[in-house]
Formats: sequence, structure tokens, C-alpha cells
Amino acid sequence: MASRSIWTGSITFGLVNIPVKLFVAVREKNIQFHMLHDQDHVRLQRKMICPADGKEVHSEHVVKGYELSPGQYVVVREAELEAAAPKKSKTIEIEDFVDLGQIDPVYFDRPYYVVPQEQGVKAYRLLVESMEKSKKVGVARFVMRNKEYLCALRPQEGALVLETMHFNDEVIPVDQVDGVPHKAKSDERELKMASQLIESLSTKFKPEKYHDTYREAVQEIIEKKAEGEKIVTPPDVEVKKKGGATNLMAALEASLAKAKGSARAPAAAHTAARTTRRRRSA
Amino acid sequence: MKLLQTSNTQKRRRTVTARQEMPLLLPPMLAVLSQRLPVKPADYAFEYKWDGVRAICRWDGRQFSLQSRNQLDITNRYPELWPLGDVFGSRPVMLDGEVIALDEKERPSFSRLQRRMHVRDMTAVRRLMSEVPIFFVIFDVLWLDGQSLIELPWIQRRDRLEELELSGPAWLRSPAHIGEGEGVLAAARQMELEGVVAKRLDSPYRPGLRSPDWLKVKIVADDEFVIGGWVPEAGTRTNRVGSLLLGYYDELKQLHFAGGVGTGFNDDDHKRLSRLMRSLAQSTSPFADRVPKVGALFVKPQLVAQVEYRRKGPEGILQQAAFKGLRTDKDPDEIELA
Repeated sequence: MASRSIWTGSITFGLVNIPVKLFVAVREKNIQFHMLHDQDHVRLQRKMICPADGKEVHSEHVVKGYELSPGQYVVVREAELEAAAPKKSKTIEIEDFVDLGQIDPVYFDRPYYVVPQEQGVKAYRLLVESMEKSKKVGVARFVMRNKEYLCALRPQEGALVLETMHFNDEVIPVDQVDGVPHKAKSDERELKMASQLIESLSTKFKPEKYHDTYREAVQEIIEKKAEGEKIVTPPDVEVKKKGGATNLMAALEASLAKAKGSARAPAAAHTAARTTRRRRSA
Repeated sequence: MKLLQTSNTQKRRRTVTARQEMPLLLPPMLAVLSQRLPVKPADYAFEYKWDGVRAICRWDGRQFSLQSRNQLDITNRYPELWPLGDVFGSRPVMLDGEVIALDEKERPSFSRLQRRMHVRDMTAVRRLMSEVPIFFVIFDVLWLDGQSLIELPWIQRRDRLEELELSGPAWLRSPAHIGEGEGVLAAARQMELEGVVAKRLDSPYRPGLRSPDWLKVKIVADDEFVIGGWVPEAGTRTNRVGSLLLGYYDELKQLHFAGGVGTGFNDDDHKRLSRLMRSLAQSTSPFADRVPKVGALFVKPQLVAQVEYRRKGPEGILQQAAFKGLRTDKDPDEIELA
């Protein structure tokens, strides 16, 4: 992999110590836009403005405040935060091994690939193989960028994947969500029908099947623009469809003209509404 | 009825510009049903009656909205009409008109519009826009440039309406013809429209009022049909006739289904028909074609019904049919398609 590792350290459990590196396993593909001035397309900058005097405040004068009550802040200095930060450790400490099925996917946050350093290859292989055999995953803690993470280590195709996890108090229990129905026994027949429906729609999960169509559409716009093509939003209503109503009006007009032609004489005195009226209002 | 609700922002703006407040809502003026055209056509303008849903469009210079006859906000159901606001730019305006859909013959079709008029989900609306395009046929202007026009006589409002650029991809001005009732009625009949509306030239716009200043004349066709079956009324009184199944003979003496008629029965008709239907019952269908009616019961084709209807739809099926009576003077075998 060409990308750079984002963390180096070692996995430890018991007396085992395996030197490893972490690589990101997921790259978000959101399209980044920048804010430009519409007049001259100059890239805009954000500035911090003090509303008290409207003047810009430079970053060296910006401190962090925690709002105790509206308008009441305690200021916490960077140094104080650093002192509270977890000790920079270089280890992923496996505390427990559990069955993967026991961890609800709601706990998982971001995945990283764990790759052994040179001197750790043998131990790494041993760990992966034994985890595959026992069908267990390791629950561990480690520190990355001043933050302590809970994580799961699981084998995947001969490698280890580290999934950072949410702490228990970050996950909202389902019973705190409004509108989740209580468990109740469903009608046997309905249940059978629903099961059959699920069965008929069942297939293998093929992730390549699902695309981010919005991103693809935006990408296409950007590419066309870059090639100098003028992008116009297609009108929602095709011109042809306008024809429908105007055709109808034309047909009515023709129909009326015919009716007038064959009508009694008095009708002729009130030809085209518009001209009659013009004469009146003049 | 809350006639003149006004938003706070408008109140504030008013103090600055001294303009009139444009109402947030205006219930549309309604027409009285008339059996015939007015006696003095020269006093009236004649417009086609559009078979769709009435809508009042409001543009305050920033926001476009569309309001139904019962003052519901239906803006999101017809995105085709949103660009109408751009036409007016900074000019606030309120327009009265009818949202219509066209059938494959490019005639207004209410049944087709029904596929659009209840859809609120934006994704579904977007999908249906190409399938069932709609048009806003505009026939009145109630507000323009900070001035209410509703007190003006129809003819002056029409002048203002004709000064507006009202020809867009999904909207257009409804034609109006002064004094030409007969001609407009004939054209409406030929094009199978619902009817004609006659509007007094000197009449102001009366929001929410069913006023005799506006007269609607409906076009109805009238014909005789053979009764070949019936569908009992839904619910408990199952021996009552819910609808009669009608037909006509072709040159090969085959009875063709022409739809059902479910309105226009009085109590005597009900009594008489349910008795007759039971005495003429037969188990097989007298119709040559399949009758797409759930719960249909069949009778010997011996009775002739006089029926009024709006028009014949696809496959000769009557639309908006109403029962007028039994024709005891007619032999069912005579009933052929004219």
C-alpha cells in the first residue's frame, strides 16, 4: 500500500508483543468544494470577528471556554488539557477476547488495517491464525492523537483489522428512542408471508453493486465543466409537453372559428373578444 | 372564514412602503350552475370550463405558493409551476386558474390529474412529472404590484391579465370571448370539454362566494342504453341498486359494455329497479365483452335506460353518467351505437 501509516506501536497481550503499524482502511470520497467570491472567483478566507468591536481576532488570542450557564464560561488552557490527556502509549493492549457476533455493529466507528513491522511478522501470523481458529476478536485500548480509543481487533483474510469503537455511554439504548414498537407476537400466517418475501429477495451481499450516484453525478458535472462544456440544468418540463396545452388552445380556437362561421348572424357582431374590448375601452 | 390573513413581515413592510397588504390566502370565487347560456350574451365573457383542480397562485416577490380551493397549500405537488414566480420577479401577484392534465388526445382529463393531485411525496412527484405533466390555465388576476384588483370589473381585470406575459412551459392564459356563448359552447362540445363559464363583464371578483355573476353551463350527452346487469349498493342494504351496467348492440347484435351508471336514482327508481333486477336475473352475462365490475349481477337485457353523461372515455365507457329514467317505449333491440 502506498499510503503512509498513521500510527506505529505494538499489540500486547499477556507476554506477547507484536510491533505493528496502522493504515486507514476507509477513504471517504466526498467531493470537496471551496468557497469563492462570485464576482472574481477568489477563494474566500474565514476570519474570527469579535462581535463587541467588529475587529478580527487572531488565533493567538483565541482560547477555549466551556459554557457553564448562558454567558458564563470557564476558560480551559491548552496546557491544562494536555495534562489531562492520556499518556502517550505505543501499545494496543488486548484486554479480552470475545465472539465477534457479540459486538453489535452499532459500536463500530472506523476501521484501520494493522500491518506487522519487520520483526513482528511471525508473531502477527500466529495471532491472526489462532484468532481465525477460535473465531474470537480482541477487545483492546490504545491512544492515538491524544485520545484513548476502545477498539476491536478482528482477523480478515489473513490480516488484522482494528475497528475503533464507541464507548458504551456514547451509544443511545434503543429503548430511549420514541416510536420503537414493543415486542409482540405477530400473526403466524403474516409472519410466514413476510418470511417468504424476505426469502425471495435474499441474495449475496455484493458491495460493488451499490454506488454513490449523487457523487457520480456531481463528478460528471465537474468533469464536463473542466472540459469547457457549459452546464445547464435540464428543464423539468420538456417543451413537447407544452405543446399539449397550446395544441389544445389552437384546436379550440379553430373549433370556435368554425362554429362562428356556421352560427347565426348576431354572433358575428362580437368577433374576437380582444378587438371588441379594445374598442369599448378606447 | 379567514379571508385576509397577513404575515408579520408584510405588516412591517407596509409601514415602510404604504402598499396594500397582499392576502396570504384568497378563497376562489365560484360559479352557479346554469342549465343554459345567459339570455344577453353581450354582457358576458365566455370561457372554457377546465376539468381540473382550482388553484390560486401567489408570488410575493420571493416566495411562490399555490393554494387549493379549500385553502390547502398544494405548492409542492406541482413543481412545474414554481418557475412562474421568476416570470414576475419583484412584482407581487395573485393569479386564479385551474391545474389540468391532458389525456393522450390532448384533452383535459380529470382522471389523469387524479394521479398527480394527491401526491405529496417529492420523490414521487418528481417521477410523475414526466409521466403526467400538468398545466396551469390562468383566467384571472386578483393582485398585482401591491394593488388589489378584486374590486375591478371582470373586463378590467382581463385587460391586466392580458398585459402579463403568461406563456410558459407549464402555464398559459385561458381564452375568453365576449358575447360568444354559442360559439364557445360549440367548441367546448366538439373538444369534449366539461362546459363553459359565463362571467359578467362588470362583475367584481368575490372571494369565496358562489355568485350568479359567474354561470357554469355543463355539456352533457344524452342517450339510451340497454341494462344488462347491476351492482348492489355497498354496505348493508344490499338489495338496493348501486349501479346499473349499460350496453348497446352492434350490427352483429352483440351487446357491448358501455360502463355503469351509479347516480341519479330517486327513491322510486330504487324500489322499481331493485324489483326489476331481481325478476329479470340470469346467471350468465348478456355482454359480449368482459365486465370489469366486482360483484356484478346480470339480468336479461330487456330494459332501456335514459342516461346523461359527460363523454365517452376509452373503449366507449361512459364518464360521469347519471340515470334519467327507464324508457318503456323503447325496444332494447333498437339500442345501437349512433
